[in-house]
Amino acid sequence: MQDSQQAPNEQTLTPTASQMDDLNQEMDSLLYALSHDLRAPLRAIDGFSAALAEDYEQSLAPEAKDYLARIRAAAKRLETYLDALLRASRESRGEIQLEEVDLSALVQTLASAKTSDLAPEAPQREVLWVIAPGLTAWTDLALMRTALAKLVDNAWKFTAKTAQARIEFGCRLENSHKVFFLSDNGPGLNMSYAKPRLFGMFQRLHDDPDLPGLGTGLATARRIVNRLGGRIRGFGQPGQGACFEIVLPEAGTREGA
Amino acid sequence: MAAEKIILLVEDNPDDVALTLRALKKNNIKNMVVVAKDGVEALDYLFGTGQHQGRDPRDKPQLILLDLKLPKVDGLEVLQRLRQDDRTRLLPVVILTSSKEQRDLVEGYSLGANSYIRKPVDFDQFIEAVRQLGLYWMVLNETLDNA
Repeated sequence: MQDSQQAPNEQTLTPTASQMDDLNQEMDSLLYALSHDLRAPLRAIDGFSAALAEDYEQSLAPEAKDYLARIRAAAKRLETYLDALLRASRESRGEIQLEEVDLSALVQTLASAKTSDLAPEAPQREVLWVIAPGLTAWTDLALMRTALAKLVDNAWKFTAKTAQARIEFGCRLENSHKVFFLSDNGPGLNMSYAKPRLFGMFQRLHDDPDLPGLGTGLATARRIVNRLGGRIRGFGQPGQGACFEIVLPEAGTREGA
Repeated sequence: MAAEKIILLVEDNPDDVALTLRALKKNNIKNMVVVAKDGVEALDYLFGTGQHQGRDPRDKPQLILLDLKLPKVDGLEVLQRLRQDDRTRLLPVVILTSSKEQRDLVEGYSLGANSYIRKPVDFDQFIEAVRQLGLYWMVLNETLDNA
């Protein structure tokens, strides 16, 4: 395709990096307002439910008290979601400063933190980490660290019950573009469910109560990679592990960089 | 006997006002609470102007609980005006707000807030926060005499 004569409709449909930044900024301020303005009515819901339960304790039937307890529990859940939303928006913010980033070192550090004696995840787990050395990209260090941390968290979490767990970070070339990948041999993904929802906010594709999380990790990873002008995708098959791939713009090609 | 120690609560949301008053009562904090529904009313109260024309500004509250998001004049501007005026620049101001946004914290402290507390959604936690706040600012902390 000729660079200078891109089809006009394609130009308007594909947002540029700076338009993406504007969109993200708008999204951030929306999230900020939502998380704040929703807290006040939520406080009222919880507070007056508590007041009702306390002041009318004698006259309320057990069933009524149960309803009030449910209202309060729901208010707390909503607060947890709001805080997660705010955190997700905060994590993908920050000015982009492009530099040569050693992605292998980042993943190595994240892996060490997971397996260190100080890691909160007990008991100790045996995980084989395979990290290709010296993989670098021209990108933002802090944002990329967060995005990779989400992918590592995800792989770590889903291999919790996998015997001989293996997590690999590497890079392959596709049309001479670097494709970074993080793969695991966990339970994998059922793509017919996963495809439209994998990176959605608050989407949890499992119903395992032992696995923590609200479903914000991959959504945050995608927001960051999008901000950096790149693409992320995930695929897998049930029982055969999951793989997440990131393609970042090559040095000097990012608009406005 | 010393004049009664007053708490000035600057809060526009009537639900939050009711819950804060309830939390104070639950903790046996019996000080008089004056409620200002926006920034203008708070400044009028403190400086004896507008609807509080004639009030003696030398009668200062012991503590100001300040929400940030307020109609007319917002909380940070109220704080700025207080700190610029010799009559109020040393008054203890505790920001009590929904926000824990970094920029609000930085601005609040930069403008001279004495403390910054994020209102918890959970009412039990809110009662506990108000208990500690009341104990600290109304009992433990020494403030300057009204002069």
